[in-house]
Amino acid sequence: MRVAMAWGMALGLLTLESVAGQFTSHSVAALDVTLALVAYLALKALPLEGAVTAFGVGYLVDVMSGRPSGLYTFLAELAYVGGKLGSSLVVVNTRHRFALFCMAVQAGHAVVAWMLRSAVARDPVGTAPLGLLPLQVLLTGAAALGLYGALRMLDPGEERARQDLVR
Amino acid sequence: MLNLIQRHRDLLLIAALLVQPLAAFLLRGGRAREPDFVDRWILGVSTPVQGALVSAVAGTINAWAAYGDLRGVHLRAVGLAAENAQLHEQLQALTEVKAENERLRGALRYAERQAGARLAARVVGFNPVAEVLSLRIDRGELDGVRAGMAVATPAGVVGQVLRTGAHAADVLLLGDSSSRVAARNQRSRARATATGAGDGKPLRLEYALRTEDFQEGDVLVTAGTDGIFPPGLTVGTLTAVERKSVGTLQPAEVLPAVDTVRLEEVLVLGAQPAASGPLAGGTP
Repeated sequence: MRVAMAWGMALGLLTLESVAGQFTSHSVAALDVTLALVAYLALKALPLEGAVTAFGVGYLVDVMSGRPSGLYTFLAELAYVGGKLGSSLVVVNTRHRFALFCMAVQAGHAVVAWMLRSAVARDPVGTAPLGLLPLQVLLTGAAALGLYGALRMLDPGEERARQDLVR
Repeated sequence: MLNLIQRHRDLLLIAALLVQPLAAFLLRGGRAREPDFVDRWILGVSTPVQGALVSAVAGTINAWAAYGDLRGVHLRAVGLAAENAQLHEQLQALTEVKAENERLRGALRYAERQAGARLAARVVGFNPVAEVLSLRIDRGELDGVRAGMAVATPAGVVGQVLRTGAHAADVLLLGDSSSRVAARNQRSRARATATGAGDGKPLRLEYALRTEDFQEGDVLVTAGTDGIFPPGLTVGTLTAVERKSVGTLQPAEVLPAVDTVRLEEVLVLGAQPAASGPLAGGTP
């Protein structure tokens, strides 16, 4: 797994998302493009390597969020661990299964984020953020479909497998 | 213990990576931390890219919007040009209708002033043969037009019907060299005969006695004694009156009152239409 490439890809995706948010609807803000990356790490990366990469990705999300509180670093790490545990229960070998996997990760990610915000907030957060959950899940699934091909570049094993197929 | 740690090193590290941000988040109560050098580096890398992307996207959007506006303006200009052409055509048609309406109103007023039957007719063509000055109208025998009937406009005498068809008639113009009309000086009431002299030439005044009062500028009207033209129709204006010291006659030229080149509608006097049209009527 290429850690630096994953971080670079995360930074690029976040930058693109931040730019896209200026010119499109606000629903883009509900999309977490890096979650697909973290989910892919959970499926393909070695445990420690993936954990470090996911930590870095979460850190980037924190910084790019403008409010680096550590929440997104934790959530990325949690999504990675949760995904790693879940990946042993399911077989994700196609683009569409990967999208479904990302959608499940996104759902858990959003719920935990809401719980943590509610826990530390002085004023009640309410359940309004959860109203965005279906949209977030759908958008993340769509993003996962689109990113699947690019994410496979992060895995040298995939390249080797393709080269073997060519030979 | 150390052995245990080494055996579960990865797991412990992962746990540390999980716990550290959570602890930081909870300890700060969800508040943002002060940016450290890593944060600054990330912002330093991403911000120019963001700026460039925003500029590129905004530029593309603006260019596309400008193109769209320009295309919209172009399409609107094309639409307006087409509309303008259509309106111009309509205006032209309306102007034509207005002019025709005014002519017909004049003809109608004239017809109302004149006693006897009259029939409005439209000029549909001129005789292409140079030797005979005649025009064709769209009324014929079925409309009550007969050969020898007088044809006039509110301005004056045009000529007389030369021959007729079922729905058309040829009118010999006053300027034709075979045309004759008994005339009278409107001012002095002196009588004479106006004859055609050919295309583009003024009429000739014949049989005007030298002793009679004819002056240049006098208006000549029909005398009504030839059995064709009713009295009082304008024939033309006298020009070039020759005052001779000897002889019995004084020749002159008559400028026709009607410009036959520009004729579009005429009245056939004495015609009794079988079916009354809007401009056709009987004796008032």
